Amino acid sequence: MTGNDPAVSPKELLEPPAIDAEVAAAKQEAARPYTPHRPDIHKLAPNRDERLFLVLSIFIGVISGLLAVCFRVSINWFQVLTLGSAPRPGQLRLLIVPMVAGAVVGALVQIVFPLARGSGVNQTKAALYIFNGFISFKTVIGKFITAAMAIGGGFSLGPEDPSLQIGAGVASMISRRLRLSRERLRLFAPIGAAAGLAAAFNAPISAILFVVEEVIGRWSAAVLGSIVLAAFSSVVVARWFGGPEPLFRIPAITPLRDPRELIAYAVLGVVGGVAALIFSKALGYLRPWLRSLPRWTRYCQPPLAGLMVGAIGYFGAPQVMGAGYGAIDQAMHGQFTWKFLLVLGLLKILATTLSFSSGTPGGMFAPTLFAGAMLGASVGTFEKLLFPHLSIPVAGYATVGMGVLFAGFLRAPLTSVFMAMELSGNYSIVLPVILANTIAYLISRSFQPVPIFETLTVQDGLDLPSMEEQREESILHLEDALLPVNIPVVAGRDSVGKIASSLAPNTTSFLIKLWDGSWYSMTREELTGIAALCTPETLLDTMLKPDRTPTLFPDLPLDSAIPYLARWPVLPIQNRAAKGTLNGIVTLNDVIQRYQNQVG
Amino acid sequence: MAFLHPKTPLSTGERLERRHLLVSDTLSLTILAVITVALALVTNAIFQSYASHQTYLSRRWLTRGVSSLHQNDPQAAVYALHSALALAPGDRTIEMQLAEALASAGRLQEAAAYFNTLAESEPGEGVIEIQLARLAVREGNVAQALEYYRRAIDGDWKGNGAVRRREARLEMVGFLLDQGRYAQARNELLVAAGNAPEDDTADLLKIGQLMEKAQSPADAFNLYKSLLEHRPSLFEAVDGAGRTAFQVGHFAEAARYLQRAVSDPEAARLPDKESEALRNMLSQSRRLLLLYPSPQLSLHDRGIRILADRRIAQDRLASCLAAQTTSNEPAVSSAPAASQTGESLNPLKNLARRFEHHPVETADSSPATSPADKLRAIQARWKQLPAKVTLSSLANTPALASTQIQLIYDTERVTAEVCGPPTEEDDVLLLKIAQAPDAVDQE
Repeated sequence: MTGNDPAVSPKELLEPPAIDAEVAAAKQEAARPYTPHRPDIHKLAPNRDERLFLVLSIFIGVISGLLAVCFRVSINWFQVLTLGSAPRPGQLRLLIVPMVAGAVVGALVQIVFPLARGSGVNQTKAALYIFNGFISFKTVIGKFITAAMAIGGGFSLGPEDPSLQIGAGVASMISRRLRLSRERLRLFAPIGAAAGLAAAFNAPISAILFVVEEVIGRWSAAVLGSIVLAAFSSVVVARWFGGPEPLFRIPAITPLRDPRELIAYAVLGVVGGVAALIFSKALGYLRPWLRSLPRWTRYCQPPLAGLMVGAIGYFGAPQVMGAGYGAIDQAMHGQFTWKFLLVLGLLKILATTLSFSSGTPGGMFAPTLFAGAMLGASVGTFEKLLFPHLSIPVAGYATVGMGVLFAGFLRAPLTSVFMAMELSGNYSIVLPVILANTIAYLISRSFQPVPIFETLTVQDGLDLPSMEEQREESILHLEDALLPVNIPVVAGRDSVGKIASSLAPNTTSFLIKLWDGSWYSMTREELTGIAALCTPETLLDTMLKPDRTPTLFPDLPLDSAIPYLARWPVLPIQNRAAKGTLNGIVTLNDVIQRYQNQVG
Repeated sequence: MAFLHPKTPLSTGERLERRHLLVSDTLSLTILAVITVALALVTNAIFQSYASHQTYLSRRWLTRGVSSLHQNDPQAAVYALHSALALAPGDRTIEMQLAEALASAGRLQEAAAYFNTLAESEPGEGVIEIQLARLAVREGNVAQALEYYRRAIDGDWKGNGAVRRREARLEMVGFLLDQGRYAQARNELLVAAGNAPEDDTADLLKIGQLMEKAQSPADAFNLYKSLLEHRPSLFEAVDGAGRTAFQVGHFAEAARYLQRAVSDPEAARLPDKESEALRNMLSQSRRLLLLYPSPQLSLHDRGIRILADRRIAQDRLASCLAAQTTSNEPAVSSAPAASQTGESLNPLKNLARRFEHHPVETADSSPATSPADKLRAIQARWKQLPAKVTLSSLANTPALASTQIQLIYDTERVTAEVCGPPTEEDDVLLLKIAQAPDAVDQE
């Protein structure tokens, strides 16, 4: 389909079994809103979409940034008004508030905002891949209200993923209002997502990388510029309000002095990998089990989860409630003992599993960072007790710990490295981060082959592309289907008669080398047709059609040849080092056979 | 809007459509801009309202925390200050208060971690280093405590840095004294005294008192004297000068200062024991001066004192010899018991104790000589002298006077060494004179 095609209604595209209220609601919602843009716009203003794209990227960034700030402040207000400014163990409100908030949020999600459920990352991916970039205004509002209530009410969830979805929703609404092409509509969702996430994290590079790594799945020049523009606009807005400080106040981290200290980080990588595994397995087990219970229980699940999370706070660890940024800050500044840090990390995993599995809207970024920071600081503090000469401060371990769990649990290795650097503002931490993250990533992957986002996608009854698989997909190149030049090669300046007589009777196609170094591939039938129209002495190149075979090289993707094989029977593959020299040829059969071999 | 220009010619209807599109896009972007501005205003209002509320809450918790700390309820203070800090992350005042509260609550590890983090964020800040030193003291980590104290002294202090550094140094001296590291403490006190301004009476007095505790009475005496040059009537300095002059053997000065101290109205405010000790020192100084055969006296007066001292020394030698012959056990063994039971307020007993711990070196003593030999040597020297010495013989023969005096002193020293410190008051005083005869009436 071209960009001028009317957008297909998401209703037509959404065909998974209607086993779920969310999916049913998505179908219902997707059926309503979108007015396909008029097909003649491309003719009236051919460059309109392209130009508007950049302008709108800035608007999307600014609005997403403002909404992200509003969202964070709303969470804080809700928390202060309900849980108080300083929750501490033994306060009865720690039990009551999450339960009541869970009941309200549960009812809202079931009755009014069914698509607000979940973190927001998968919903944005679904919008990109299934709904043509469509996220409704109602979903945005619902996400804002329910997630703010849940997180502010003490559920162990984070505001980043909802901010991502809110940003994507803003982008979707704006692009629909301006009746952009469907291709552009799709692209706007990740742009908004990057803006929302960047504002929530106050870390534009990490947000851009995450969206590229997890939402889009590939580096696309068409969208990268706009993503960068939107992310930076939103961060400017966020910093306008919150100041230039990063999300966490990380004390100065001394650079790695002795390479042997990397062993300490390797231990952290192993611990993080195991923790990520526990986290993934727990979510992978509890969430589908809760979803398999009768539908009416979905009204009860959030309040019950809230009660349990509240109980954790009531009986000693209110730090795990909410996003937990304050506790991360305290861990960074070495305010907890290693045992308490360990307990907090494990309780956070438990509380987040309960909160998220119950269907309460909210993100997993902050809990992942929380658990990672606690485990990292715990390992660091413990190692310092054993080896006091280690020069790395606890904050260094906590920062690496955040990256470790991000890599192991969310399986975004590139983002995790940059996030640790961006949050710490310290490049010297890059080596430990890479080492620990790689170990955690490999451990997590070995024992949990399916990444958590994909697991959640499957649980939601959707079939979205796996970004991890895409990253690791081995792409076939032309060289993989390359054959030696086993067909005749003639010169374009030869006469038609001479060429006809030189061809063997069984030759079906041959290559013509033209005077300017370009190539033309021809079938015997085409030659026969030309011969019928001219004398034998006529030079062949004077009778050729104006087009030429494309210039292809062995390192290009194999699928790059496919569009041309309908026109050309044989494609010459040229040498990059010597123009006009052939490395070989490919035919349609060879290409298809090569793909079939790969699948086999 | 050049981008609206089509590549192919448009019909009239299409041109109209294009115009509508242009208007529509312009309107949409304008609405978007208006929405953005409106949203920015709303966001700002919400943000500012929360920020001011947050500041209010933070101050409220800080006040509660400080109040709890003053009311000696560190647990409540920790909770309140934690809450305050959560609402105002990075506020250094709260951070410092919290760390102090943690330390007060006995959560030393947390407090140390907190202070360490603060120190990492602002290395060399004196106020943090001294807190770390205090924590190390509480944890019994001597080496680390001294390192932190040293860093505090060399660190940055906001405000009156010199005063704060001196306070840190004196605190370190207190710690050194507790550890029995007197030499180190003396060095620090000398530096502190050198750095302290002359008009800082309180600090100088404190330094003087610490010098006394550091077993450095000579330094303390000098300090008190210099203090009295600027504040001649300062009771604490007069008192200190008297005490320390007595300790270093400057009995003439001691008597003078102690007399001033005792007759000062401030002395009435002293605890009874201290007051009594002062008076004891004064009377002993006077008695000692009466025993001392000062070269500045007339020949007659000096002779009287020599004869009196001669009698005391001979009696002491006789009793020591008797003790040696009746018992194989050294008489020294009785000394510790005496010193143990003696009141610390009795300066004579204190003196005796000092001699016990630091046996004197006599002119004729040598490691190879046994105590009995030493006594016999002294006895032989007495026998070489005339058995009867009169005032006139002393007056007529200055050499005899000198020999007598020297033998008196040697007798006191040897008997103290062999038989232990004397218990008789005059013996004690005479021994004291014998230790540093030239210092007695030194000014």
